[in-house]
Amino acid sequence: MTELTPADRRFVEFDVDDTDREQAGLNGHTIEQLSDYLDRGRVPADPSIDDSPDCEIALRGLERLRRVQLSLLDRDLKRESLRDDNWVASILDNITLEAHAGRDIPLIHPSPTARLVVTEGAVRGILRETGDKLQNVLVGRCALFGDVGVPGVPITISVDVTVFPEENIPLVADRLRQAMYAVVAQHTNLVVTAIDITVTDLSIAPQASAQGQEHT
Amino acid sequence: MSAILPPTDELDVLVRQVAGVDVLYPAGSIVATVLTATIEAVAHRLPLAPKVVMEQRADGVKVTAKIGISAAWHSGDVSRRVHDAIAAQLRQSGNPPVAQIEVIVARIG
Repeated sequence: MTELTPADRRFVEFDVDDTDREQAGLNGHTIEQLSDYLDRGRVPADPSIDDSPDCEIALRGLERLRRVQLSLLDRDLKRESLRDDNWVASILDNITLEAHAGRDIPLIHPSPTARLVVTEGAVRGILRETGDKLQNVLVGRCALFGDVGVPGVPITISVDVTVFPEENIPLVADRLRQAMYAVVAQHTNLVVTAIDITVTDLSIAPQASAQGQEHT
Repeated sequence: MSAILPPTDELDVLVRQVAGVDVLYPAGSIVATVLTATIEAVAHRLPLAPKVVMEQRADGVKVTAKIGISAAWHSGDVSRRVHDAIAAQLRQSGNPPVAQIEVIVARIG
């Protein structure tokens, strides 16, 4: 049984003011520096980036965002995507925040000397990747709510997405939810009671958008 | 109080060989890792610092491995295999009792 997010409920904000944690999360690098590193083809190799899983998660998110931007260009939707400059900036901010290792999520092992964990950042990263891989979907934000550090405690996942044209939103949300449930089950022992998906942005084909404006 | 044991890349090689392990990240502090890498780069050598960290604690040895895995595998399965491989290696090499073997899945996909 899944619950839907009420339309007027927004995400709880990340602790964006915690700059120490933000910098530590990306090994002291900013998302702009990582973007430049991608531009340079990751050459010369920078061990402070390459040896950081948080940087790698952010780099992969950046790469997928760039692919979507290129795809928008191909589909002559650049004008639409640029209608709000905050759109890309907001996704970049979230990629930065979500790449942090965050909390440790325990994995089960019978040995008393074993401490096996998957980081919250790794889970958010694979959830984001799962969403981005779906046709015409881009994950804007992904967050885990609840005590993920205690096995068996029910948690919820909240996801903001942008949906691109020609998609039936309820079907997309259902596909996304099923894919995310599968990934969480594959990589964690978390008990997920709900995956709330909020479509925060709809990208409309320029022609349709222009026609709409003519009629207003 | 714990002490970092002398570095050895034996465990690095072992962990990298575990099925599903895509990347092995340094489990030590960021500062120490970057410093070592920088010194080695200046000296035009490949970084030598082992990524799996082994510490001697009062109650035994603590080993920490931080890994990235391919999305096709299960985090639980891969981390268990890494744990079991390290535990077997420690038993074989006659190390002091194991206090803890920590395996951190830090990236998936």
